[in-house]
Amino acid sequence: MPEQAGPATFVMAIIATIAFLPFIGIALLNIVMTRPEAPRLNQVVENYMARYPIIAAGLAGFVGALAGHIFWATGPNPYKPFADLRLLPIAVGVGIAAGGLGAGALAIIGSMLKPLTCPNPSAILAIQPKTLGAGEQQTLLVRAHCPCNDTELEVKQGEEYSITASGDWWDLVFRSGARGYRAPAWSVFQTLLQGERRLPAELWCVLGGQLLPDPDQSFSIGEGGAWRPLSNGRLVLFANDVKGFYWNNWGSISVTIRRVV
Amino acid sequence: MDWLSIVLLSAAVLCLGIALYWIWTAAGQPSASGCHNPPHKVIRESQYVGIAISIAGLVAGRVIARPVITLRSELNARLALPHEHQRHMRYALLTQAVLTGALLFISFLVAFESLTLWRGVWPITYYTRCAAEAATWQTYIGAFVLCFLIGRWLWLPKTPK
Repeated sequence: MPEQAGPATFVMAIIATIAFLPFIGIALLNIVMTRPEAPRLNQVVENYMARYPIIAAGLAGFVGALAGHIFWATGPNPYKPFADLRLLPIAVGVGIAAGGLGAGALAIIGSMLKPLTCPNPSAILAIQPKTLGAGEQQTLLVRAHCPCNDTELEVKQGEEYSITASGDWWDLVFRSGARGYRAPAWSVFQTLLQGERRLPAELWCVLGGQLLPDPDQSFSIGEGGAWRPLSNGRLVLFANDVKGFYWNNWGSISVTIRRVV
Repeated sequence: MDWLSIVLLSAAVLCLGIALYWIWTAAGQPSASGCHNPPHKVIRESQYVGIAISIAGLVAGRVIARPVITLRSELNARLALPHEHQRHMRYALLTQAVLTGALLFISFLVAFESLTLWRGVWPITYYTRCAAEAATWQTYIGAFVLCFLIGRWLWLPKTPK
């Protein structure tokens, strides 16, 4: 095929505008964020990336490969017809769909991996416990996605505590407080699995407690009240759910434990 | 040192603005020189000149970037506290929106490149080669400025502790 004229300069101008405008916009935002009291744009970006280093590394490698593919082309340079303008909206649609699917997949994977960041019972028991004196109290956040939230408290039979819980957490789409919630009738999956909950007779996501290392020492706390340990152990707290299904929980509630006697 | 950042960023914006103005005015001229189909792979300068200029832009962006917050806890506190730092929250929200937009733009680029390669029509590579063939030095300046901004935003010389 003989050499022909390239694309119209108007086409090139439109493409250059599409390429340059995002950079101009972000540079202007960067100038605004150069105020003394504002965090720098690159530091805010780095802060987001630092939360997900593997994703950031993958993204950087991918963008680098894309830039290399576009700007450092080797191989043959054959004649090709120009792209049909209809490809643009198709590419926009595919880009949005792929971006949405990728973001959704990452969110699901991130949620599924979330419980792995929680301490397990053996790790909790390896940490030195503490005790509360009469009248002392401590407040902690109990995360819905953690099967064991360490209070760091060693409690003994005969002691008396006052526990109060406030706030809401979520079991996928069901919002509840520490008192838990009743699953709707249409939620067949929950009906099938309700016997597998850590506290089968209690509501879903009710605040529960357990005295480690005994796995049978689980009890319901709910929104709180007076509590007397029936045995000695390390107190951990949790949302009442089926083991293996903590990944779809999110949010946290605040719990205050006060030693009464 | 803030003035240096502002001056350099303003210069980058000015460069891109001038380039866009030049491109659009050139597009309106009947005598505007274009490129060929296929665009020339080897132009007046070697392909490595463009690559070297791009890398120089990246390095310059990294050298000029200056992190002002040295502790990550301080950075998180500035971005997270809802009442004392409402302005910073707005910046965080803006940055998130820009990041989302940038990632969507990259998704679009990948989708477009894939579609063009699949259909056997002009890929993005050809357009960059075309620009380099039609306006070599202007393309180099554009590449330097874009790489400078990317290096400044994504390649911090020091991360907060």
